[in-house]
Amino acid sequence: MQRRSYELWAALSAILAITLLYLWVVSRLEAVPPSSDLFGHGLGTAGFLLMLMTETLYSLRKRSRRARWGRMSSWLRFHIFTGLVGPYLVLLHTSWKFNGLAGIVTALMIAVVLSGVVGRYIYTAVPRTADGVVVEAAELERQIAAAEADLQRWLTGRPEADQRLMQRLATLPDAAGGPLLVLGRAFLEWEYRLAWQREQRRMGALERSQARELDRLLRRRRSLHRQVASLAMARRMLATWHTVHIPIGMALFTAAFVHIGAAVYYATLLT
Amino acid sequence: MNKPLGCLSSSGLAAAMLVLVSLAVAGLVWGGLLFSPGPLSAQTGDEPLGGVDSHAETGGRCSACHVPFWSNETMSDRCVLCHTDIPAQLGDPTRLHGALMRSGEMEFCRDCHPEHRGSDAPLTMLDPGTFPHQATGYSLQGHQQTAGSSPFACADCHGEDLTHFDPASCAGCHRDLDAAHLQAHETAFGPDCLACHDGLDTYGASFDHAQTAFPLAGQHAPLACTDCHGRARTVADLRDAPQDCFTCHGADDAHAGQFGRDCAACHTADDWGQATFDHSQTAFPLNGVHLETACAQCHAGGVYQGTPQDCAACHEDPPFHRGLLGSECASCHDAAAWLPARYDRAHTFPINHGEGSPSPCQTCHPDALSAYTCYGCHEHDPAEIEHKHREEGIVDLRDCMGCHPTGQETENEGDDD
Repeated sequence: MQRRSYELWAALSAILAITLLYLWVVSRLEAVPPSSDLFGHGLGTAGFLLMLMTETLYSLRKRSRRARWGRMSSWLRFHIFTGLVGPYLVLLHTSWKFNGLAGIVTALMIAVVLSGVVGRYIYTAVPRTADGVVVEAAELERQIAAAEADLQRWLTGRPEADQRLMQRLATLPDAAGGPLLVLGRAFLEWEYRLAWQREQRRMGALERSQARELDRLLRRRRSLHRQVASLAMARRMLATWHTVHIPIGMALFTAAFVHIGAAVYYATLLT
Repeated sequence: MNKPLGCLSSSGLAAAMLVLVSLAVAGLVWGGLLFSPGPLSAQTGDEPLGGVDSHAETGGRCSACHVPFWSNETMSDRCVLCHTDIPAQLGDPTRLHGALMRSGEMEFCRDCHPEHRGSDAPLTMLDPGTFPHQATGYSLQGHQQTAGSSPFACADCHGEDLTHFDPASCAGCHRDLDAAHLQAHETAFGPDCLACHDGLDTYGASFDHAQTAFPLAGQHAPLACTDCHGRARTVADLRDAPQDCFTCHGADDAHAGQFGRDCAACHTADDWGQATFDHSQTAFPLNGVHLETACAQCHAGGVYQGTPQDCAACHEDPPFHRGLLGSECASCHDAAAWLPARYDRAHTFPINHGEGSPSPCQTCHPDALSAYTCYGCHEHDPAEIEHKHREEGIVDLRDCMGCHPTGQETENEGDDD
């Protein structure tokens, strides 16, 4: 498990556990549990509370830096965890029926979750400190200079073969710029890794050992260059994303509250 | 706080307002359909109720069934506004709805009749684990597992519609269990299983006939049910099976109906031959020698009715009587023994003679009652009598009673002087 994404593993584990519980209930009932019984309402209530926490807690923490209740990155991880598990619970609560307002709420919820995934992807394109503070371009330039110096120190006194190796690795594919640099960076990174694997297969054992250290230095420099190149674009995209995500989210919660009110009126308190 | 929450931005608030306005418009146009979790049932009843043929026809008029949670009314109250026959059933524990409510398992109509499950979905859905099936008149006590040893599911007997039951579904399983028996059973009792079976009994090998008004004993025990109940089609038919012997045994009545229909008066179920006829209950109680007399001696040819009760019908008048005593045998004889007889009627000659004789009459009437002799008695020696009478000048000694009507020794002795 990678430390930087353990919230995803935690969410996946929770989803797996919830799925097993759901399947057990299905086997007991020999039917899909209805939305309106105790289990169905429990799923909906728990899911909605988690979604409400997703919507509010991280935003509150971002806006109350003086209080400093926990690190921003931890709150973001919790935000991601609740943002995945909550909607999954609500999805199970639907009993796979999407009529009327309940169907609209479900559709909005799926849109918000997908939007959140995209937002998270754009968000990670913007370099930040551990507390979530955006690293500015000047700081990135300083880090690039340090990375360049590390690379040069490594190359100093190296044989000509290492110089040629550095030239080969430095010319591996990368994005030219624009939105693709932000949205397509995972694909580009994957493409780079494939090229690097091909290079490694052509190397001898000694050369491969040296290449790994060289690759680490080059990837650091490459990442910093990419961040500098995409910083402005990533910020613009993040702002754009906010203008879409927040209205969808508000539409979702408004519709969800109406749905809850109707459910209370028509079903939950039925006598 | 540095700035308000992102959700409270103008775009967020605008989106929220847009949703609220859209929902309000949708509510005005479609009514409560927006909140419907699914289509209502389009199943129609026998006749319109509450002005609609089906729940689906209520459309978005949610208040036809739903009540505000602050109201004292319940949804069930709304149900019976249209289903007006249900309240009477609810108060009657012998009816399905009354039994269900009484069992406590079902509190609200919707416990068994869920809605919003689709226009074609059945309106009745029951939890097999809690549904008191015996309230329907058929207990599942004897139907815990199918012929395949798997737990019964509702659909095994009811198919898709729980309110429907096809007796053919019984045959489906029971043919697997014993096809030959089922075939014979259907032939004998018809295909309507529920007409007799209520799930608590089998009316088969385990049925205890001793608990009925007609315990099976003797030769009845090994009989097949169909021997007596062959025409039964309902439990009432089974219970109405005739219990008198003659209904079944009349056809082979050895008495040709002479003793009526009450066979059990003489016979038991153990054996026809062990008849125990109580002749004392007839107009001719048997006693004495008659008790030892074979039936056929009086009832020749198996004819039991019209048997004459007078003695002469069986007992010929003995020659000894010479027809002098008529047919009232019993005035002198009784059934204990023909002899000795008693004679209580008037007798011209005093009957104080012949004590100790096995047949006192024959002391004086040795051959027949039409003649008598005085010499049967030891006191009347003929030679001595002749001698005494000759001394008196009497030579005709044939009619003793002519001179001695009372038999006294001194009778008529002085008349000769």
